[in-house]
Amino acid sequence: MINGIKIKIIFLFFYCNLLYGNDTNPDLLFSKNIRSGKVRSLHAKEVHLTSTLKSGKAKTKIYELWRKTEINSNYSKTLSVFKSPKKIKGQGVLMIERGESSEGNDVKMYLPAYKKIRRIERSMQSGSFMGTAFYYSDLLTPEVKNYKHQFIKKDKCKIETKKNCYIVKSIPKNKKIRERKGYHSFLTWINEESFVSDYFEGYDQNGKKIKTLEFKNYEKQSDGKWVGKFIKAIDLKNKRWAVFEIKKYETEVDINDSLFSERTLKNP
Amino acid sequence: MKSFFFIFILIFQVKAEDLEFSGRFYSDYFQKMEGNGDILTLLNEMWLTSDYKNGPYGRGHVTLINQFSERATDSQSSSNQIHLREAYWFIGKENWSLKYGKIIHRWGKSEIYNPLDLWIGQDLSYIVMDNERQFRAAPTLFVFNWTKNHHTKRCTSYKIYSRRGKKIKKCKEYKIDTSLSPFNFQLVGSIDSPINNLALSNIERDGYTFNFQESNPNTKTPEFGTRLYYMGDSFSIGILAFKGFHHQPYFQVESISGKTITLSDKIIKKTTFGLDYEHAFSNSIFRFDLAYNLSESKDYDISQVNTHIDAVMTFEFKIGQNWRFLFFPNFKYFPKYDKQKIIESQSDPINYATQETNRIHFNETEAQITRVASALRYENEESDFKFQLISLYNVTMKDYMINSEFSFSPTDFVDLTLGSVYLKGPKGTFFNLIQDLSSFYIKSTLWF
Repeated sequence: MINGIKIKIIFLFFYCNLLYGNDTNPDLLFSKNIRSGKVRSLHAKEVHLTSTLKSGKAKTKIYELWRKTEINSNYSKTLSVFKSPKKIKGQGVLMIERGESSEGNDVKMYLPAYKKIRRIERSMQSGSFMGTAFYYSDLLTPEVKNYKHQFIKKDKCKIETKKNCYIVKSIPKNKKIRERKGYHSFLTWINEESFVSDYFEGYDQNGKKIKTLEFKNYEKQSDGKWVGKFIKAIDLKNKRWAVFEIKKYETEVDINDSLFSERTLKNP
Repeated sequence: MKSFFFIFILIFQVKAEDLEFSGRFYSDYFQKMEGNGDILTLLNEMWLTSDYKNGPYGRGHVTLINQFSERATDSQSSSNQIHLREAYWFIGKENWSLKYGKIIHRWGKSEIYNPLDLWIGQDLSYIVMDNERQFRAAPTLFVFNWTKNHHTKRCTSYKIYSRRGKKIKKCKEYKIDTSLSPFNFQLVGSIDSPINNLALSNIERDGYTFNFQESNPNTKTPEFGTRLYYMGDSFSIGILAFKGFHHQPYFQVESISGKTITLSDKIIKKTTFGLDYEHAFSNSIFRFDLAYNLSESKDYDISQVNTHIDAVMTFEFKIGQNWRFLFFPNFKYFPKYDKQKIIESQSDPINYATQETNRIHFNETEAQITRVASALRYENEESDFKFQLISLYNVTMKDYMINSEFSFSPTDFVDLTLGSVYLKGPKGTFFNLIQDLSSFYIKSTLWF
């Protein structure tokens, strides 16, 4: 008798899981969210990074970006080379995502004035990217397994308000990951149809909201992936904002792995 | 002539519409700290740069500098000169690339002082000139670089046991995004490195007047070097070998006439084996540069260029989000250093004067030299202000230098800097020799 009830409960569990499980499985949602934006290769000829300074002034930095996603994984390599303002012309940032590696992602910066390549410490990956409201970690792909994900609810999207979004809460599994990410927890609004990010909220150790990211202007590519052309970061702690905007780009370009090396970083 | 040859090669290969022009203007004003506040140096520089870009592996670059300076040491002197800072062509494909022209190429990891910066000369004629502006390029036949990304296996022991109770060791095919990059160089022998005559030329010390004769030394012999480089997860390591010349010329005393000593510059051979290492931790970065320099002093009798070891460590700490503290201990060890030989050479005044001048000038005054440098920096890209405090202390000789700088950027294309440099040390030490150059300064930079 008891065995019969057990079997029924297990059957019911699997049935419910089939009906709703995949929809709200937070790990799966997060994974789909990451995969949705992972075009195999991207060459953005012109990226504008506009930010406010403490003085209230807004400054725009223009750079060129190459990104390649590894086959069979979601890890990318990104090379950014700054063109403007002239003061930072030739400055380059190489970001290599290493996923499960204990050392985390690798970020290197080339400073033309010194003609030297500098590594960025792990904790600095949660620091400001080129002096803007973006953290380096905001522009790097989080590893699904490094976070404990929790499905919160399904609601209207914050930015694309006509669509529905899944809201997923993610908590870094350990101190190292938290240090790299820069948030004690974060919420991601994931578009129900395309699985792209719509909105993001980052929280500190006291549960206080410290950062929001707004994602807009997605364009679907031939492989079904999406390129997000606009991200706005609002730093609520320092009351400033930054906008990342891709002006010109092409996908499915032939980019060799060796582009993401010190050689090209040094010869911007 | 060589410079124009490089420009010709570059221009010949590009189309006008692919060229991009930019430039900058520097203006530095130095005033002596002591005395009647005389102007020490007025230095203006105009940089004109042209860049050509063709995809990720096609680059051309030319920078010409027009330098105008007025110096008031003991005798007023002014100069106006044009020189080619850099002119190179970079071509490549996937795993290889080739760079040729007049190139500033740096090895090693440390700042302030690096014993592995073997390919560049430095213009040390002006005190506290920006690092970038001090570098002098080497005419290079080619720099060949080969980059390879490769796969490796990483094994992780999981707490999973097989049916027979054995622990299973799982391996993952893991792509280390690294470059195994040997560099090969060949250099057409000519050293472009104005000698550091600031302290010695045309000035009086202890009743002696030093006259400096520029001889534009040419080596006429190619230099070779290779570096094997590996970039791991959070570390990178390089080993290197170099056979060439000291790119910072030594002094040669040509004649002593009464109380007048005439000096010229002398290029000395150098063979170096080196190691560089860098490791990024959570909140800090460690760097290590080691040079093992073999004796090449057969053609030039100064004991301090005998076989010696030169090592620099760098400990870089992040303090908060915007401050950085760097600490650099530097050790030099001359196993065959023979102070007695220098003393005995007093019977040969020219040799003695040569050795003494170089000994002090290159901080090679004992068999073991320990120096420590530190730098405290405020770097915040969102702020218009920057600050840095650099100190250099020779533990062995007790002389020191302190440099502080405060910069303000009113716009994206202008930097204004106020600073001071203070030099002090016991008699017979380098900073004592140039302590009159302690100064306050104003620098401005305009990018266009």
